[in-house]
Amino acid sequence: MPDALREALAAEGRSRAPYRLATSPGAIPPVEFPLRLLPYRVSTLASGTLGLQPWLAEAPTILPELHWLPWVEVHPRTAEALGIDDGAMVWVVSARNRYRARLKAFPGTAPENLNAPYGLRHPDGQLANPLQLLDGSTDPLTGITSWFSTFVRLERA
Amino acid sequence: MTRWGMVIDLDRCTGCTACEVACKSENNIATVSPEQADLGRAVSWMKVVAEVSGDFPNTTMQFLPRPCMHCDNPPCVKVCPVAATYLGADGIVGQIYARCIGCRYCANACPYTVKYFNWFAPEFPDSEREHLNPDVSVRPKGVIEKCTFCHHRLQKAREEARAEDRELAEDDYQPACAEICPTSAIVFGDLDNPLHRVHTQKRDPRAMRLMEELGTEPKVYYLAPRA
Amino acid sequence: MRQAVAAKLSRLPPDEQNLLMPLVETTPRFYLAAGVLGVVVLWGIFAYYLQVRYGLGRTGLNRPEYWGIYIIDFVFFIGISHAGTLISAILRISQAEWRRAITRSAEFITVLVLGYGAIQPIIDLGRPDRVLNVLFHAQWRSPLLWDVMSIGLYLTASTVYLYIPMIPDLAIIRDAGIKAPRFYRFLAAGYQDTPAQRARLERTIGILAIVVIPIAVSVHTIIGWIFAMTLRPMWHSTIFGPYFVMGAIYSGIAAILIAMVILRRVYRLQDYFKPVHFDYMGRLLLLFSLLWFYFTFAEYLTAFYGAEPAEMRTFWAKLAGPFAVPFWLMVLGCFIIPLALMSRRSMRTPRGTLMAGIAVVIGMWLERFNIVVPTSVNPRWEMESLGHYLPSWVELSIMAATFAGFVLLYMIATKFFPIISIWEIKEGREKVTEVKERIAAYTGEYAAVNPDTAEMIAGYTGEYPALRKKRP
Repeated sequence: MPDALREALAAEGRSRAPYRLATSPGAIPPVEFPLRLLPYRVSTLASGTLGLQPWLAEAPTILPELHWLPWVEVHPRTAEALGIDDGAMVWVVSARNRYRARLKAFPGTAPENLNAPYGLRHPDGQLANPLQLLDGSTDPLTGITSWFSTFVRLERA
Repeated sequence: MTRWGMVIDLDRCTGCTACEVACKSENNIATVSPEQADLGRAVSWMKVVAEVSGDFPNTTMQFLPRPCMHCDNPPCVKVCPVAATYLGADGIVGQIYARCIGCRYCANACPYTVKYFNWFAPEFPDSEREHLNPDVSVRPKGVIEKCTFCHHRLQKAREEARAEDRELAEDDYQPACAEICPTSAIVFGDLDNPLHRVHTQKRDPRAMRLMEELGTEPKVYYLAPRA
Repeated sequence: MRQAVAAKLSRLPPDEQNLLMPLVETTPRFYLAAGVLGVVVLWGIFAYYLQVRYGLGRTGLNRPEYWGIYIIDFVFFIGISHAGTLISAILRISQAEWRRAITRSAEFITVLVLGYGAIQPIIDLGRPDRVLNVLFHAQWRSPLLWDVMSIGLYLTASTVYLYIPMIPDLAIIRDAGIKAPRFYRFLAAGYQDTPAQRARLERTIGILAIVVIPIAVSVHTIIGWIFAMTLRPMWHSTIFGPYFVMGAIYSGIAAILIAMVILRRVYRLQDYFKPVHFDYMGRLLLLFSLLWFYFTFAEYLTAFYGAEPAEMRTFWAKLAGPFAVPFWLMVLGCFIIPLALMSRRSMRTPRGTLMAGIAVVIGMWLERFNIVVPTSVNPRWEMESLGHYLPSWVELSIMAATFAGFVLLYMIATKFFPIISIWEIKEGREKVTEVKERIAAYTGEYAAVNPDTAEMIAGYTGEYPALRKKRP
């Protein structure tokens, strides 16, 4: 059990509620990393184990024109604001790491987010793993790695 | 008169694309390189098309699996100079790979753009080569191919039924996409046989066909999503 | 050229000397041009070999852009083939005297370009090794099959229509003995120019001229129907049949003009290709530029008025979208430039008609492009992404080789056959009285006393031409 929780439970005068609220890290994006990274599992690729299957690598997702190459999704307005065309190659850059992917403008993405599927590889074998970009912060309650509190930016590749 | 057709319930389709993969696996469809795919040369006899509408946070997607429509009045058959594409007696629009001269006239005539062309000779990576389906021929370069409603399965089913001296039942012959669909969105059968599900479903008030006004008489029906 | 041949040539009358000179004398400039063109042809053959070996993937074609450069070139070349047969046939039937200098070069264009046009669809096939299937397994409802039949018929008819009127000239060459005597003796087929033979020849030519016109019209109508019989937006139009025929004649006239200007310059045929020829052909070009505008306007107006969504996608792609540049360049080349130039008498000269002719040829190629490509990348099934098309070097090489091959064969033809019909020119001169009487019948006065008409007729057939300056 994390120390913070142990102390809170042992504190005098604590409320009857079993847990206490804690602010999670990463509520506000820093200036140089405006987009929140949301790694997600592609339903067709079973956590990425099927990403090397040629039929699935050729057509990994329901969104069109994303053959073979790893991709990331942003809202079309975000892409426009960044001046990057739909389908262009970009670097997804966080404080820790970066990788190359193809940009897809998809209106289902929240404008402040970047949806990044994991489990994909480039045809030459290079990984395109958004999980390598995570800043290492943990959830204050459970101590597990926080996946959705990392911020990134996009650069033209 | 047997008329093989399909009814696809758009409310049930989740866009999982299992039908696409099952079709590729069943019919020995080769993948193409990333450059070729970018040029628009990837082959996908069954394709789940996604229509995105609305803006965040009210974005919706409608999925539409699109096989060959197997029209009863097929524009592709009319224009083929060598009768390599033909309308079979049981309603399946077939393709004779050995006769096709690769002029792509049928591909231009099809309003649904369901015809695919082998721009190069198909290549299979070693991992796939072991799992090719022996019942389906591998196409050479320079010919047209398209969805066949897994015609080879019909031939097998007929032979088995004849060997066992019984009639063909609805479950005996199902194309790979209908077999694999996890939500049973794709229903396949004889449109004229009252015992088959498609016979009733095609008369559902929600039933419609794509580009009906063109008069191609497609045999793939879609049940429009409710509201 | 050798002394013996030179001597034989100098014994001939002036017309023969001028018009047979290319057969016996070849400049280094010719060899150089032929060499360059030959290299381009060989390069194109190499490109085609790669395509056959590896597949049509070597082109820029894709789904839904199934047809591209090869089909564009196919329609374009078959279009130009309407030059000879239609022009020379129609002018013969209407007894227009000014046709005499033009018919042979026009008929040669027809036969040669038809050959190159007819192989384009074969180059376009995914399985050219199976091309004979169109005969073994012919499916008669296919417009492509009608096309095979009509082009085959047209090729036969126009070859015959080239050969038969050439027989008297072949006899002249045979009798002069200046080149390959056995070859010309075989081709001349025993023609001795007796009155009976001449009469039979004229009758045959008269029948051929009439027969060849519906064949020529059917060829390009059927080519238009290849597109129009599909449901593709902006292809499925009833105007395509007549539109293609009109466009074909238009590009054919432009091609003849370009050939006339070049031949006149290179073989010094100023006494035969006279100003009046360029004036009249220029007027024909003007007429067809107006016709082209009418047909194009009618096609686009009806599409626009119908406002059918699938058609409008292609419509706007052409007028204001990704294909706006080729579309408006086409209008410039097919309408604005020829109209501006050919409506002035002062521009209906070799130079003016050359400019207008080149503009029309480029404009008409762009028209074929605008028919094939914008519709192909905007399929009726709009739920998948749009197509795009960038021709590969293989396609462009084969296209260049086709153009080069045609020009090369034409050049070689001028070395074996007189590019202006000698006997028809002579016949024109002899027939002046007959023509005057015919015109008198129209106008009701004896035109011989009318100096303008006499001058006009002299303008067609030329004064007895002076000898060309001999090379030292």
